[in-house]
Amino acid sequence: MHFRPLLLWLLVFSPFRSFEAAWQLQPAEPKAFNVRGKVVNSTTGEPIHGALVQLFAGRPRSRLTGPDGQFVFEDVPAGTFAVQVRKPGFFFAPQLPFSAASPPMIIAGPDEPPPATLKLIPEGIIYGHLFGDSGEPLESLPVQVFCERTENGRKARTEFRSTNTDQQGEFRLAELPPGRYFVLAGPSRVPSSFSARPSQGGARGYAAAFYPSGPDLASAAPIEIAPGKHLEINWTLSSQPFYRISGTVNADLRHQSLSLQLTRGGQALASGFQIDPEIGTFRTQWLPAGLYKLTGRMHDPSTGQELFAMQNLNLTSNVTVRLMMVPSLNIPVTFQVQTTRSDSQPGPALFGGSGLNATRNRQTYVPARVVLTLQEQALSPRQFYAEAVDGDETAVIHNLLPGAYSIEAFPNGPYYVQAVRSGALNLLEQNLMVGAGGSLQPIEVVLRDDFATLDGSVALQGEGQSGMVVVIPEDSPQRARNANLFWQPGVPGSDRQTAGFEISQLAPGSYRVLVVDDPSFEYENPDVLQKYLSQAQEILLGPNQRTKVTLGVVHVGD
Amino acid sequence: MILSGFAALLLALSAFAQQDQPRATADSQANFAIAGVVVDGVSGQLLSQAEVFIQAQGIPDSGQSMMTSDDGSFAFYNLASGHYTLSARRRGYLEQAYKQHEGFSTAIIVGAGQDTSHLRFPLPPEASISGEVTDEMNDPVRQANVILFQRGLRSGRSASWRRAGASTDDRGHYSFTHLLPGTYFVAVSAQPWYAQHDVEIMRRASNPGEVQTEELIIPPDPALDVVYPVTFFSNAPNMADAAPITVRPGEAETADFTLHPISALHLTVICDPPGGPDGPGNVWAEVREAVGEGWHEGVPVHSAQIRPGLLEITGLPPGGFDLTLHTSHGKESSVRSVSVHLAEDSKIDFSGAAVNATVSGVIRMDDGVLPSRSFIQFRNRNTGEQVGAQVEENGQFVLRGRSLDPGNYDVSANGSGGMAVRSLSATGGKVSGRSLEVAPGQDVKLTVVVSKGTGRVSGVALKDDKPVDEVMVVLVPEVLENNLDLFRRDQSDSDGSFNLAGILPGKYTIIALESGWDLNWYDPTVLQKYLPSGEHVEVTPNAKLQVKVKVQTSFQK
Repeated sequence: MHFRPLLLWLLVFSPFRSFEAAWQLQPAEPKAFNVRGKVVNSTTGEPIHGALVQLFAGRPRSRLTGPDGQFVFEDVPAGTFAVQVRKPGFFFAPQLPFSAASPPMIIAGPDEPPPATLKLIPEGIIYGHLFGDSGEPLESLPVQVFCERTENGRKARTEFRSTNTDQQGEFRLAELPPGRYFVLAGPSRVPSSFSARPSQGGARGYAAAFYPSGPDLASAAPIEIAPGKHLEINWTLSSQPFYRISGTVNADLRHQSLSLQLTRGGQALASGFQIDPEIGTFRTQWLPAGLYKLTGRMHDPSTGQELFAMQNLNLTSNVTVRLMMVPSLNIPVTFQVQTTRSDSQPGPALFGGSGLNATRNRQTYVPARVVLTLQEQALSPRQFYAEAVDGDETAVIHNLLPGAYSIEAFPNGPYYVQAVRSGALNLLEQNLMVGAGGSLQPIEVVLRDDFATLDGSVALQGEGQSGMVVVIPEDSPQRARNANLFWQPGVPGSDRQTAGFEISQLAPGSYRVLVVDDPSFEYENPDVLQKYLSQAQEILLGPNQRTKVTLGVVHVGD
Repeated sequence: MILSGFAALLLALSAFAQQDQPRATADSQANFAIAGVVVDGVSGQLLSQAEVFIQAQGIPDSGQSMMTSDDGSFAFYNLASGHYTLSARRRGYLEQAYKQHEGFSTAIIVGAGQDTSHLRFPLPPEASISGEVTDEMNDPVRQANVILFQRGLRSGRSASWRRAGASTDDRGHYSFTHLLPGTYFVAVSAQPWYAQHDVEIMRRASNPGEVQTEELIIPPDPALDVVYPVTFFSNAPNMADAAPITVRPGEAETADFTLHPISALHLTVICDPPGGPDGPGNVWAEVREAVGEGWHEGVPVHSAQIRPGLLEITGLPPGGFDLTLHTSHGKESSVRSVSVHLAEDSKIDFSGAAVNATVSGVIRMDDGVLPSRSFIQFRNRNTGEQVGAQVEENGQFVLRGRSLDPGNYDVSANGSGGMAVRSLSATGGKVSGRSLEVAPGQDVKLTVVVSKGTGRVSGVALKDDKPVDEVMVVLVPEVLENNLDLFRRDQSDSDGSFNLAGILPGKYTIIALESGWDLNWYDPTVLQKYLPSGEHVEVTPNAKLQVKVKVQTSFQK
């Protein structure tokens, strides 16, 4: 299901580095070959000197290219072998995260293989200077670069790299693969200046800003980094007033420790809390104006209860708050496993790629992994995981924050998720609302073992073409699942014109199946999916059935 | 005055009230001033646009700030009497507290009869060392580990210590900024990005048809089985042969490196195979190379178990290092260390080697109470290397991971509310005063009795009966040797006053030294000269003594 293409390759080639094999010596091959080639820059075509080429012929063999980019491996036995190339400042396409490229294969025998041309993609670099109000270089300002990618059918922006400006206000973010990026600078860690009486307000600093200007991603300009692009950004920021949040808590801090967290746009900010347990007060560092969420947690040793408090703050001046600690929000999760098959073993069974947290430990086994995702405007919304209750096959989700949640359940065994409910609420279709003080009904997860399996064969349009299978339930397209195509590289004579896939643990029902040529296909976006749905194959999957299907690859995108 | 939370003076503006500090009184007349000029610490030139801060000690939210005007002057008016911390920052200068030395500075005492309106605040211009690291192909070396060592005085002794670390960027560039003038060394520890150290082990039947197997070790390609030795500027293998970089105020020094690969060495280790009838255990090797004094860097070696009891370690640079073998089987684990010096591929027999000596013990207060949140520290007399352990709730501590190398250590204890080692006793090690001698391979069990330092001595440093600020005040114990933990220091404030707290009951001499900040004050032969003119005191439990100390001039320099 949620396989990333990279995983497949790791499985095939691992271990890359610590190679220790125990095997019987094969009788010597009657014939050996020379494998030659050249490493070039994919954009300029120039040869690359001093690149490391590794040929996985039984054991990895390594060579550095000469000044003309040439390499040669002698005495290579007959066979089909993967090659890999490395050089600082370059990427080898098959090893890029979320790459669609398959690794080049060298076929030695029966004839001498033709010279290979291996391409390295030059890195992108974003660099430049940050200046303040009067043109002075800004030192020690954090700079982050976010990368936009489509993962599992969903567009996601994740922090990719970060650095700090140096004394000259300079920053460099190198080793960027080609792609779309956003740059965020700030905020200042300490105010850049104070007015006469800092305690009465009047500290100034540089707030976090996306390039070229704006506090959030919506106002950010995407930066396209083509292979080898070195982009200089010289950027002048404007200082703004900084404020502080001070407060008190309705609890005695001398005997219980209070842990505080401040988030903005879902992102946790560097802690800088000063807590004075004697007086029972706390204070944040200096912060730019904006909307913040302050969360406090503590453990009450007298009752053994976990306590929490959450306060939303619109910071426009120094403010004082009082945190009212209340019992934390916990939701129990119960499981109902409906078995219909005689071969079905209730209980732990590691199965397929599902159930990342699956465990053979009976004590902590739960039939499914349950994840709640807070619906918030954030780069990476917070997630809460159900934790197993010892020896009970039930679980509990601890310390939820008030808000709306979407729910996902991943079976830890040979099941599919038939239903997720909270009272009369169907959580496969609707969000769960969690409020402070309200009763927190248990979540019930219903699993069944009479699942369907889809077994596919895909005619490729070119040798080694990559692709992604998307299986879309007719009645709930938002619950689509994907899988990668597989074939067996490295096996001599393997047919690279067709690939296979298997998706199991599907709920019986009607589906549409689509194979696309782009692993970053944004199928969770209904507008994108709609365009290609007519080219999908309709299929009815019956309980306990394995259905075979043959498909072609649909080109998506421009 | 001791600077608490010295790391960020700016935080002084936001810090909560420091406990146990003289408080400015709210009912005083608020008609005093702190005023003066900020000057370049070297040229004496007046500095405009410097940001100056004051904070009344013990009064939260009393911070004030201003910029110096064109003539370098600043003035804070309408101040209540009390103790103030004064600090300043300006681009190109080190952010400092007033007349700062190490973790001390001169506080400004405001009140009747005090002239605090004619201060001269020198800010030292900051310096830097930067450079580029390139490899034998003239390519930049990325993510090279660059280490800056400083040579100078530390805890009253001449020493070299690791001041900072940096990592090179994609251009091979590194920089160390905000440096005080002084003597520095720079070293680079890096590995060729293309290095291949893994050996391949093949097993085959010793004779056709036999079950017994033998191993065939296929070494890595020699052209790629290479390492960069640790390189000191300029192109030296160690600190002794390295070129000291003398950094002058405001100067930017350059130290470039070119790294050249050399063949990596292989070490075959014979060890007792861990394990039992229920299966084999794990063995792994850790290699640490001494880089400079008191600083070790881990060497990223590769190790492969050829068969139980035989380990092949590759990726080693020639030279001396500590080899530590960790073995574990089930819940049992042991650590064995040995110092080796390699010039070529070698074999070492670890079987039957003694398990490392562990240093463990118990801490208790002299009133029998268990100390809360305390930490015990061991400082190697020769190397300056410091190793510490957190003391558990039950008062026990164990030095985990690596044990102490044989040698002499000063033992000190830190804990909430301040504490000092009152007495030390040990089995398996020799104790003198507050120091411990660790012998090779011998477990040490320590009993440490600590005391809340209850005595306090305050006073004033006088020269020709006039108070002097900025002098180093040292409280010297009766027995000079092996008692680092009993020494206390302070810097005299603007009215010549000082404050030495947390003193264990006993006999002491207090000395006050003008320009004493370059003195090896922990060297008994140096200290002897000043003791006759010092002030002798006897501190009794809970004593609060008031003394006058004659200022002496440091003979050094």
